[in-house]
Amino acid sequence: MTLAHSRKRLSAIGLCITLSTGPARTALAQGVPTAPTASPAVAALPRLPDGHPDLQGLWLKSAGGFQGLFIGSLDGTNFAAGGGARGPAPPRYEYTPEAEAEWRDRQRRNYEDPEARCHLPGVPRALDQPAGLYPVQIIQDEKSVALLHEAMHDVRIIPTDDSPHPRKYWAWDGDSRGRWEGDTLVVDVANFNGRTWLDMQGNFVDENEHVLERFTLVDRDTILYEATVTDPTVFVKPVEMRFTLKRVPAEQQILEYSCLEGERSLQHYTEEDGGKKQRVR
Amino acid sequence: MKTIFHAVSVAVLAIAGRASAHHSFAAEFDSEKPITLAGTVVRWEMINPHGWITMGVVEPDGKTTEWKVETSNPNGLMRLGWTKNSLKPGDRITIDAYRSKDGSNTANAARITLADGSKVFAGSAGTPPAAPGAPPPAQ
Repeated sequence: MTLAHSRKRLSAIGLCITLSTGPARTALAQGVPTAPTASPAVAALPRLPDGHPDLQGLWLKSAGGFQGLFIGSLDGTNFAAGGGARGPAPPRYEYTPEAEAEWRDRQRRNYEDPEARCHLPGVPRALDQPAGLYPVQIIQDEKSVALLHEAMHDVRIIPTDDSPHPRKYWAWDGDSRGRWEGDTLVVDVANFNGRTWLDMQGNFVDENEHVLERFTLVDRDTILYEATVTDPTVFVKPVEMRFTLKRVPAEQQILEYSCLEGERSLQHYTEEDGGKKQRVR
Repeated sequence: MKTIFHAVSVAVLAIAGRASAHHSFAAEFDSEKPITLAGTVVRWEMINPHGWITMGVVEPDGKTTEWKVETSNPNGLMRLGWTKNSLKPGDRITIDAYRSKDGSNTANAARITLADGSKVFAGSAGTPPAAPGAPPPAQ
């Protein structure tokens, strides 16, 4: 796509999105789908020559009740703030007593959220971004699957040979190793740097985080994403996440995200969120 | 620009979000302090992670005060039809917004009314809906 957003092109894209999302609205209104079993739909899934489902394309996290590229309409309405669509249930975080105290304290330290400082989101936050806003492009061959996240220009290249994690490497996004279990791509993620916040509400992990992700192509336009986050020094039970990614019309593409350029928010944070300014009532 | 927005508005798409796009709305802005800013565009910066509108607002005493207004992520705005030329220096606009907690002349845009009267969305997922009748800035 060229970025010459002509009026005609935008009109076409808008119509395309409207048409392409209509059926999804009905299906997803019933909640997040389950992984498919053998069925004609599964048999009709697009596949690569190696037989694995073809996950390639541009995808966007769905809120569950509706799927779109936009969080607002052009009459000035903010749908996201108004709610209304029934999305996936939020994850449950069951902390150790010490970690719970830390979580409560972090809610008063929003100033420290790494993503607000333009650091990489980590996993699963790389995909668990606000619904309908930042697409991810998936590129796949017989040896690897690459996730190109628009948010933060985050890139994950996942070998699908079930190879072991490196021994001396730690990173925001950790190290991802994939394998195919039937038609599901299973990704084991470890080697985290321990600095990740899972969201803007202070939920967090440390360097013992381990994530098992499952990507299942439910139909040609829907990926079911499931993540199990374990961290024995933070959680007493694994944290389960589940939501869908919907295919974005081919006219769209990943756009540049140069995060530091316009980051002018932290300077306004007040003391009640760990910032340096006084709250003015 | 009105035509652009009307063309895209055929795809009125609802989506639920539980957080702002890049940072916590509540950490920077006060949802209890809606404000309506009427004035003239000085500069429109369509940059990540949030766009920024610099505008001059004429106060009741006749003095012009400069305000910085944060918008949603520019990539999302671009997909809605915004371009770097959507707002030009000198354009007269009205922004329904929320003031920053630190009391500076900084706000988060919810909705922008253009000179021709058309209203366009500018907020983030965490921005509350525009509050009608918000008071003008008080210095």
